[in-house]
Amino acid sequence: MAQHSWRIPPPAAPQLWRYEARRAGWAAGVAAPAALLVAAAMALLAGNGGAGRRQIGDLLLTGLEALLPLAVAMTAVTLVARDGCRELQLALPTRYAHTLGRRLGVLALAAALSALVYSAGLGLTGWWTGPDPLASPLVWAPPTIWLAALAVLLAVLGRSVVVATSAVAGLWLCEQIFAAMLVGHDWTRPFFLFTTSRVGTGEGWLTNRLVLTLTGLLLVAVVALLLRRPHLLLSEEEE
Amino acid sequence: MDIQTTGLTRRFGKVTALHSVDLAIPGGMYGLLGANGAGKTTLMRILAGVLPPSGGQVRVGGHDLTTSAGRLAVQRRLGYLPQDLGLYPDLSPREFLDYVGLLKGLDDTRARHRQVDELLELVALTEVAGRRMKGFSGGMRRRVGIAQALLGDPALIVVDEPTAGLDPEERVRFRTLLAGLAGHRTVLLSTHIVEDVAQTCQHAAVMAGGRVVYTGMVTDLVRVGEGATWEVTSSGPAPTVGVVVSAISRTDGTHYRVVSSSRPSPDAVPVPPSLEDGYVALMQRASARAHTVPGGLRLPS
Repeated sequence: MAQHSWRIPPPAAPQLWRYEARRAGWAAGVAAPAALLVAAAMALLAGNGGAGRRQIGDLLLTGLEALLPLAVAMTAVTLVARDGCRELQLALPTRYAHTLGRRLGVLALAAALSALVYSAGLGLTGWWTGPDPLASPLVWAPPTIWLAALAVLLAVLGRSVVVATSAVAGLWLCEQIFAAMLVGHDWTRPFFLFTTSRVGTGEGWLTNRLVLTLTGLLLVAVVALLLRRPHLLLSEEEE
Repeated sequence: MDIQTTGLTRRFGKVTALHSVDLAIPGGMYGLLGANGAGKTTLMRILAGVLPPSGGQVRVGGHDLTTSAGRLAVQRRLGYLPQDLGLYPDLSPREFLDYVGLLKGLDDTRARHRQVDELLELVALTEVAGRRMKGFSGGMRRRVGIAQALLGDPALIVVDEPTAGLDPEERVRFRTLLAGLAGHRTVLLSTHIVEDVAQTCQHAAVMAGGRVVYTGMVTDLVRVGEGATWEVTSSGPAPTVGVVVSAISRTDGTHYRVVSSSRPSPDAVPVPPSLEDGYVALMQRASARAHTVPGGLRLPS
């Protein structure tokens, strides 16, 4: 047998990142900016319809806190649940969890850049109604981590894009519809995803952000543990 | 790389796909025959480290596949062609092989590119190496599949139903290619096409209902059909006793080749069996025994 270098490529191997960016596809790059553009378009329409400055500002903030996390979560599900070469990937020495991590990393990078540019844009144009600009990542990062991690967890456990996306979309909608009820209870308030745009940055806001971040990271850890058994991703048909 | 399984079991919920499989696979080309649903793909996936077993022992080249360290050690020396290789249609064969090479840990760019070009040449895809795989035929996709399996010069190659759906010419070409790889490697060929094993393997195992019902020389499998292979010439309906393996219409009537443990009709003539007859006879016996004896039939080599 010929001698070859069998070292597993380091996570930062640029060629591998390039390939994984292509595997993540255009949706990974477009989902977050598209969600923010939708929010901007809605704000524009509201402005033309005579909405006040405060309402327009809240709509713009909703894009960052609600639409962006939903778009990222939906895209994360498709990245994890759809792979034409999954069985081959599972037989390769590079852990499939690392491969998926790189693809999700591309999505996270695109989302973070879009959110930062959007926040800066709102700040520069005077439409920013959120917390101190330095704390602006706390508007979008906690709900994005939380919703995306939950979506991926459901995709792994349910082995179905439909189940995972439906469940996440359902939860998102319930939080929007029952916002007043969720904010009204001490034990649900810390888990409410849209506190900034629906309640404001007053008392309890920071606690809410920290709880969402910590529980989101907990979900990420559970996903990482599950992906150590990557055959869970094989659908029943594939099994 | 020798393969040894002992009491290997795999369950999916309440369904047992593999029942205590004992198998010893030496180096060279080895065939794994069985009908669809026999458990071949599950066994291939376990050997490729894709699925963990539910019970029993699996050792490949001395590595214990029930541990993650053992799986990784085997996967570093493995070439795997799954039954349904989806490929990535937006990539060209050259890009796909380069990507898989990176995932296999071939991180010397120049050496990897050289190897990719050599493999594209080997599977006769050099001319389309830069074209996207979106419109590739089944045969071309399989050739890309075997090329990726050969990346890194693996000591063990596992191919699952590689010729299914290919036209006869592609099948022969693919078989020849596979047979040529077995020199210093273990090549495990799983298929339900008896002809593929007959043309390429010296040794084979046969699976039925999640059990191994035969292991041994391919030539010995032919003997299972001795005394059970018949030719019946009739201008009437096909014989109802046994399994009709072939039917050829001639001027004197239709010549039926029948595998049956008993004479299928008074004018039936015994004929020498082929590998396919031996396989069918084995399946008949396994099926009959499975209904009467718990654990089914096992014919030692």
